[in-house]
Amino acid sequence: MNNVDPNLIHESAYSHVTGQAVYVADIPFSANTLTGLVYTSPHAHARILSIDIKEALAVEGVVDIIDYRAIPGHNQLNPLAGDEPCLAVDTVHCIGQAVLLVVAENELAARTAVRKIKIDYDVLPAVITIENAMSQGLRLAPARSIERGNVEQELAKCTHQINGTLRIGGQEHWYLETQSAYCVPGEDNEMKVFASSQNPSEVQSVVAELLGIETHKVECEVKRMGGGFGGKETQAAHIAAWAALMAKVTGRPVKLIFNRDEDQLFTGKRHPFLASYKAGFGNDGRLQAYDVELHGNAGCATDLSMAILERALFHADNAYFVPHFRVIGTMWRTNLPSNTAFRGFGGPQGAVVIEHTIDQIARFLKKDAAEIRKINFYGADVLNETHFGQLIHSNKLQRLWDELYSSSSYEQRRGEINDFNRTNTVVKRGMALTPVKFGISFTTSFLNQAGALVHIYKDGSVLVNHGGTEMGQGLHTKIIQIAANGLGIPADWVKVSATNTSKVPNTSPTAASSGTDLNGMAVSNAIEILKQRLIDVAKQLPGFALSIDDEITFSDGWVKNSSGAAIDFRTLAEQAWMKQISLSTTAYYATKGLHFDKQAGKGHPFHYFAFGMAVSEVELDVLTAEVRLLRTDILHDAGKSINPAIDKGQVAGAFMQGVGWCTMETLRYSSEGKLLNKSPDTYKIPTIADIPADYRINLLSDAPNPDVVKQSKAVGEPPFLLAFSVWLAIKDAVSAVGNHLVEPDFHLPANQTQILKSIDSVINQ
Amino acid sequence: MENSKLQFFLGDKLKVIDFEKSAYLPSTTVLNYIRAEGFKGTKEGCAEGDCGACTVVIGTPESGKMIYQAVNSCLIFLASLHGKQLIVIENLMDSSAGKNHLHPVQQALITHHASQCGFCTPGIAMSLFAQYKAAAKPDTNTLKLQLSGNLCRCTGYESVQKAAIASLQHVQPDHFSESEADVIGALALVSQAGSLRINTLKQKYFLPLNLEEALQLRADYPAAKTINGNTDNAIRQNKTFVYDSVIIDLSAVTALNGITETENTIEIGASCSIEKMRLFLKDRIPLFSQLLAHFASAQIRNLATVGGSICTASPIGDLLPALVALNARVELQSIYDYRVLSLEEFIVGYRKIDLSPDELLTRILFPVPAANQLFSCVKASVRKQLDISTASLAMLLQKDTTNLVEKIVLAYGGMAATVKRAGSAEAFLTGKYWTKENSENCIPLICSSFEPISDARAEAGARTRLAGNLFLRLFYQSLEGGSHE
Repeated sequence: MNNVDPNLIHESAYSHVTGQAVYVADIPFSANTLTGLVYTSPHAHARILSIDIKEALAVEGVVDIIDYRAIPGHNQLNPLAGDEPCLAVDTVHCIGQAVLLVVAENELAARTAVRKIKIDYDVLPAVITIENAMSQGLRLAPARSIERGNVEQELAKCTHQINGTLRIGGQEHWYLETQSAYCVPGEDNEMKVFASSQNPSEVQSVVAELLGIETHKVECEVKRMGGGFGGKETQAAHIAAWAALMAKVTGRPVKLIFNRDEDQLFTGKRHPFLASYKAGFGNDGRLQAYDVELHGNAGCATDLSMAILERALFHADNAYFVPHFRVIGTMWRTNLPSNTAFRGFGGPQGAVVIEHTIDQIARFLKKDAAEIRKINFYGADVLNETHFGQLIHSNKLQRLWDELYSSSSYEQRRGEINDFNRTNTVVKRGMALTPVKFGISFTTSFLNQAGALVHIYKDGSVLVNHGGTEMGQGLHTKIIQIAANGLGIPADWVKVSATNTSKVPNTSPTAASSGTDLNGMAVSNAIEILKQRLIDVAKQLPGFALSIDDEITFSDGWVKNSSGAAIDFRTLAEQAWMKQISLSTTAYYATKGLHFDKQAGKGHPFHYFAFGMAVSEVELDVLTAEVRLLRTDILHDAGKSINPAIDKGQVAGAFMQGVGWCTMETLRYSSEGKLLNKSPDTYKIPTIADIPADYRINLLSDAPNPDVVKQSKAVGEPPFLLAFSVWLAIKDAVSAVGNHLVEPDFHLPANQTQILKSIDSVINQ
Repeated sequence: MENSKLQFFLGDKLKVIDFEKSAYLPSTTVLNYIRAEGFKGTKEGCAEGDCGACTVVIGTPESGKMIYQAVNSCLIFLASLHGKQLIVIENLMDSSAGKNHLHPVQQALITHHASQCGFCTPGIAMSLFAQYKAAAKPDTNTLKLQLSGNLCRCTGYESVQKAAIASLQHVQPDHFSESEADVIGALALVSQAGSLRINTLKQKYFLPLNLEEALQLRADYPAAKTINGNTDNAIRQNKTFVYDSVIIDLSAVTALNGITETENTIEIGASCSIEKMRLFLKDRIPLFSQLLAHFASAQIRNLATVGGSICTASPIGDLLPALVALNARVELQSIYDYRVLSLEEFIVGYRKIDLSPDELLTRILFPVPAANQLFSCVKASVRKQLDISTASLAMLLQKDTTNLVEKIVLAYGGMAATVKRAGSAEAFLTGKYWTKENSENCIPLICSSFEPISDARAEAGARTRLAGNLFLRLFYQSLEGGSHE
């Protein structure tokens, strides 16, 4: 075995803690760099009557003010849907939509100029909420549905039926590094783009299309992001496109770095949903029929909304087998900034409804919700087909439940909580156990591909290029482990380069938790190719002549055969060079066998499923609505983890991000469509003081995942859904106010206002 | 004696800035300054003190020692560094004599996998460094409070917490300890040279050292912006890009930064920081001190002053309801005059105070609650840490030995344009027994005392509900004899 620490520290950790790590805003900009600024619409829906930029242009230091007419190519940020102009032409569809670009010698000049731009608008009626859009029939696209069995008929036959509606809030990404780009024009219409993007290839093609040039003239480089979470999957290309256009028009390098208020106001968020459901079940709590409608607020443009809706449909079952199942989903067009990808990609919004439903069933039957969950889980060998017809293999739900129920002392603590609640009136405790089953793969099947370009230099050092981007998730670190272990060399002989479209072309976004699955496999394939070449070289060396390939091992910087011959890796690399053997190769990987028939609602869209489970306990101050997270136990399935330390970090981070979404993170809009929480002053994400006082995160042991790189499992998104345990623990505490006799009116997020209302709904019943 | 040149240490190097010749304004934020100087490890995450990515440490000589405090560099003006030591992430590593040693807090962050995207990491390292240099080592809960001004969106903080605890296990002298005496010596020369008076065409910036000079400046420049902590004013500058032409910065007036107790009266200088007040009140009025532990973040508590907080006259500030309940008085001075007003008289409207252009708020005084008085306070906010209250209540209750209410003050924040007392409820309760029944009966009176607004934080209905609930919370708390921490 090669001796690379499985818990290898993040490849940039040293740069992070010393402040050396470079983000877009830290690039040493060339001296002639201009500062760009985006002038955006102050109205959610309006016609532009006239634009007067005379006074603004006169501000000292202003170089140019650009409108859509300056675009050499196609005025479009979404070439596929075609509904997102780069700069508004005559109508604006949300507050924060780009109308003009101001480019100046410095930020102060640009800011001063923006204030002097005069635009007359004819303000039109704006649609802000899902209910508004529904009443006006403003579907983004036709509704989608997936159905198995005969839901209506079976619902009527069930012993018990419940129904309800659930409002599900949106979420601001709040990556620490705001959206930013730096564009440097070159000779022959070339454009180099330094972006903070999860999707450099899309940046490249959007910029090329906008500038009317071939893709090969645009080079996009992403060193790292200061967080992405989906917010930089499509919308980072917007910032890059604006910067590139300004660079093109002025012929000078341009930096465009959103400040926090701009980022929060202008960019899309997690989609808010409105759900209604009916469920039929027997005395044992086993679900027989489930009928759910999901309505998403897409905002003003298509972006990824339909794919997000699709994933919501795929996850409407979360972890449960329901024989008769129907989910109908619609995305609605409103006058908000276009909502976009966010960790979980619609999955959380789909899954939370059935978790809420099961909680309601348990209360209805006066049983513990953990028990109702357990009896409804997908089976290992039977009852293991999802509503969309995919069989679930290696189901870990039962195992997770058994291990976690015991390790969290669930039963004993349930008794203690009941005792506590009997003796306390203004402080209540609640607990919930919730599972997650999350499908891994892009549901747009062809995106499941990746490329790599690996060089071994003649000193034995290795440079890996691949299509994935580093946003903190540790992808590059895992790639280093894969490459180093493949070549049997120390980790510090391997470096991963910045992601660059000129190294690996036509890449998929680093999204859908698939970064390591796809790129890791491509890199692994490249390593195998190079290794074979080195084996062939070794066999020409004294002592290796009679070796067969399989007996040649690569470990700890040495290449050996079984009869004791050895050559150090560096010398072997140099030998290969001298023997005119290429030490560079590309490689490719694509997930095979994925398909989904949208019409039939059947198929096999996922390569596999990831599983996890959590138990959380909270204490609720019934008077102030303050929630304290007392304890969380998480058991998560990361397959045979490539790097347990990094995977646990993903679990912890996703979980708390989910807790933020489920509790404090609230987006309020004025009736005119203006986001009120446009800065961290009023938009609150969790702090270190909000984490569970007692926090126990474990990865499921002995759970290799065949057919995936190093038998691992994707871990980026699934643990986000484990935060449902906190959300339903709060509901349990609210329910305790009414001795669990009343179903609380409860929605997401369970913020202060919501909890107070919910308590009232219990008291006033 | 006076200085026209700004002098401070950046790490171990003395910096001198002559604003006549500099591209910087005296009110350039330290964040913008250090980044422009090429120290790009310090990040801008929000430019309003709400994320901590720009955290730096400022060393201030005090009684022959350096006091190191974490602050938000987006909220401090360059000129306020006069006579201090600025330490940024690039200074943390010991690179003296060709060494390249990580600081123990940096090493702990690496060892415990506490960085993911890394953007917040330098700020977290700086906050940890300040804790490393602090005299008292915090327990885990206090450590979390001290770190809650550093937002991280990746790690979920579990690894950060582990790194934080580990890094404070074995505190030893570091390379700052070695140079501490030299830095103090050099800075003493700077302050001996007199107060800083920057008088350029673009901006005048005065950093008086004594009260007389400050009052004279107020008289000479009645239109000047007076800053005292600057945590509110810097945000305005950051967001509007409008720069004041004349600034009087009170942060160096030593006569104003004290806090003392004399004959059961707490006397606080207007420039006393919230953090200093929190520590001073810890044993004297524990519940007040606990409230201040939830005042903004550690970084802001180190900067924000009692006088500054009062003069912003925000209806949602944490301080005002408590001070109103304690019947605080404010001292106002000019070169001609001296007045004392009750705090309630001083606050005349939404962010409006009774202060003449030539006056300064110099001291705040309030009595320590007597043995027969109970002071308590509660704050309801969307997030427990680093959040302004949705609604808050401070109560002063005086009962006789038979449990009869002799006097009660109920001062609410977040319910009106100013801090407002629930007068009818106070009247209702006075002369009645302090019982659950009477408390519950006065809830409608409390709720009808206010017409709160809906805003980004909460809906009006929730605020009304909270107003009554907060009172009940304090009622129950009074039965338990104090804290609900």
